[in-house]
Parts: sequence; structure tokens; C-alpha cells
Amino acid sequence: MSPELIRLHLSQLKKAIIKSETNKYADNRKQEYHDNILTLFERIDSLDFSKCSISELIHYKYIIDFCFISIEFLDNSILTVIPHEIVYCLEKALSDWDDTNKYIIVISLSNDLNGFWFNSMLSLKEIYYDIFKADFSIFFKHRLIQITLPKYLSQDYLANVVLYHELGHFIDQRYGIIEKLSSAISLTNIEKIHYGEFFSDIFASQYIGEASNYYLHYIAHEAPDSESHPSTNSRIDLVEKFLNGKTDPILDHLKDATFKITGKELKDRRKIIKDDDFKAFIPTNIVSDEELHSIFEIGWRLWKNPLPEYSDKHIGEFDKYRIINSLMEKSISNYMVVNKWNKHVPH
Amino acid sequence: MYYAINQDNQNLEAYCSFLNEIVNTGNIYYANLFKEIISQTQNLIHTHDYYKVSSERFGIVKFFAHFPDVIKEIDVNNIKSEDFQKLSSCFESKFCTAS
Repeated sequence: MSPELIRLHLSQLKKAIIKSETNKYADNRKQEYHDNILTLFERIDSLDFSKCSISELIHYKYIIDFCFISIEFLDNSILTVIPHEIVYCLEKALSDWDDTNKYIIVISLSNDLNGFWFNSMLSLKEIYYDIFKADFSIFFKHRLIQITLPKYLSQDYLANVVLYHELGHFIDQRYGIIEKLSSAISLTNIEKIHYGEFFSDIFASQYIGEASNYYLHYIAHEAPDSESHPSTNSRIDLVEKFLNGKTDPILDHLKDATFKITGKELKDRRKIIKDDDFKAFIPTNIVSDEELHSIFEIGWRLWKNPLPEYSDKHIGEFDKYRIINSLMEKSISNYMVVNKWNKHVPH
Repeated sequence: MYYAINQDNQNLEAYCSFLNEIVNTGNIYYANLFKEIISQTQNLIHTHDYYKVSSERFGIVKFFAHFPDVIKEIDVNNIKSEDFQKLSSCFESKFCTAS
């Protein structure tokens, strides 16, 4: 670690920042966050690193990394790139659990076909924001929830059910649900990790029922218990119990801790729309947020089952895939427009 | 503030740095943060209710709760530099034992 290497890192960041200067965001909060990153960069850039100790240099390296990651996610969340419809659905689910307006969902696209991730660095590592406030007098009003999804599946509404699970990880960590539950009932490290996965599965199923199970079963086909995940079968089994109102010791712990910590219930929040419109090749009219989330369940149901309305018209699997995805996207998009319109029309 | 990097690992050395930072720089923001953490830790020691701890500070509060004797003695409305030093030396001795 040397001042020259910090300067190199800063020059790399500066290049990324210059490139991001023309970013246009649909959400003003992202612009505000972006502006704060620029101010932070200017402050760090003006420091004299030759007088810094090694630990101070390491400290600045981490802050530069923070700025870099922020820019990466902001770059992928501009008007022309971000998959608005799926982010909109996630924002609606988020608002059930957090009404502070503090968190912004941002996206990064990965080349990994199974690359669905949540990273808590920009949303929950509060210590960074403490440092920015205490040492640089820069106050960030918002935090970025980093969600990564595969580039080639960014408009795939069947695969993107996994993102509800990723949002579950954010909610868990936002409230420290599993962390606190683990302390309260003395879970082992592996149990704690497994409970975190179970929580996220249950969280997702509140909105999309078994839809995430379908994809999970495919990508993690009957995987046994591992250090990072519980077995696929136990995950699917727990979601089924939750949706069918059955009891289970793990489920009971999760429900109890969630309510005590957040004041909100883990419950079946679904209101499933009819699939008649999709069968008639038209987007469906969604009238509530609960119905909005159910679009994923409908899409999966139609994909998994034989559809005479499609096969009679000699529509092949690939076209069926494209049509279902397109109908899901249009249905969400129409709901977004109507909601926005209703917000601005005087009643 | 080296503390930033290691908070997740419950690193004793990092917590010592955090306390030293407050004492050395006298940064009012960090001092208030410390006050908030002590207050929550005292509450946790008293109630044993993990669910009431702020999720933003859970890691450090849970760690501080391992030192009930020192924490209980601190007056949150009148924190003195000896409190920092006492806690810091407590961490350091545990750090030395751990390593």
C-alpha cells in the first residue's frame, strides 16, 4: 500500500466518474446520491496521501472502492438500461416493509447466467455513512440496495422471480432478523445461514407463491444441505408449509422473530388474478399491488401447463415464452402508467 | 477510522481503533455514536432482549455486551475519557488473549 497506488485507484475512479457525468435517472434520489459521490471524490482527491499512515491509506482505499461500486450500480440504473418493470414490482414489495423512502433499488447486470445476488454494502454498511458524515460532512439521505441479475435474463419475467428472494435477504439484514433470532435461540453458524435462506424463500412466497420454487428446483436441482444453503427439498417443503398454513418449528421461529422485530407479519399476501386475458393474448388489467405480484405466478402457471389456446394456434415453445414474457411486461407497465396517472390527476 | 473495514468480523483491534479515534480526534459525531451504542448495550445487558437492539448497531452492541461490568458503570449522560480507556484496555486484553 503506497500513496502512488491510492492515486492510481483515484485516477481509475475519476475516469469512471467522468463517464457517468451524462447519466440520466428516472428517480431524482439517484441523482442526489450521485452528486454526493462526486463531492466525496473531490474531498478525497484533494488529500495529501504522502502524510498518511498505512492504516489510513487502507481506510481511503475502502472509501474509493465504495465510490466505484456506487458508480457501477448507478451506471446500470439509468433510464435506458434499468429493467423498470421488475424494479417497480420489487419497490412495491419493499414499501410493505420499509416506508422510510431511504432505500433505492439499483441494478447491476452480470454475465453469469445464475448471477442473482444481493449485496448489502451500499445499503446496510452504515459505518461508511457515519464516516462520510463525521469526517467529510457529507450526508447521504438515501442508501442503494444493490441487486445483480444476469444480463441475458434482465427482461425475463419468469426467471426474475428469484429477485423477490434477493429482496428478502435485504429485508432480513435491514432489520437484523436472523442475526437477532440467532442470538436469541443460539443457532450455529450453518443453521444461521440456512435460516437466512429460509427467510428469503418465505419472504418471496408471500408475494409470488410457489413461483420461485419452480425456478429454484431447476437451477439448484435437489441439491443437498451445504454450508451456504439448506437442501433444495427442505426449502421447497418449507414454502409449501407456509402457503398451506401448516406449522413447522423453523417457520414458527421466523414468523415470531419477524413480527417482534419489524412489527410486520410474514403472511400470504397474494391476490391472484385470472389468467383469461393471457390466454386471449392480451395484457391483463391489474388493480392492486397484491394482484401485481401475482402476475409472476400466472406467468409460471401458463408456462408449466399445456395451453390449448396456444397449441391450437400452432404456437411453439419459443413463441409461447416470448408471448408470456411480453404479456407480463405489458401488464406491469400498464399498471405503472395508470398508477402514475392516478397520482397526478385531481380527484 | 480502521473500524470501518472490520466491523463485520467483530475484530477487537478494530473496536480499539474506534475508541482511540474518539479519544484522539474528539470527533463529536463519533462520540455521540458511542453514547448511543453504550445506551443500547446497557439496555441489552438489562433486558437480554436482542430484538430491541437497533439493527444498524447490532454487531457492536452484541460485542460490547460481553463486557457487562465495564459497560454498566458508564454514565451515558456523562461519559468520561476514563470510560473509553477502561473499555479499550478491556478489549486489548481480550485481543491479546485471543491472539
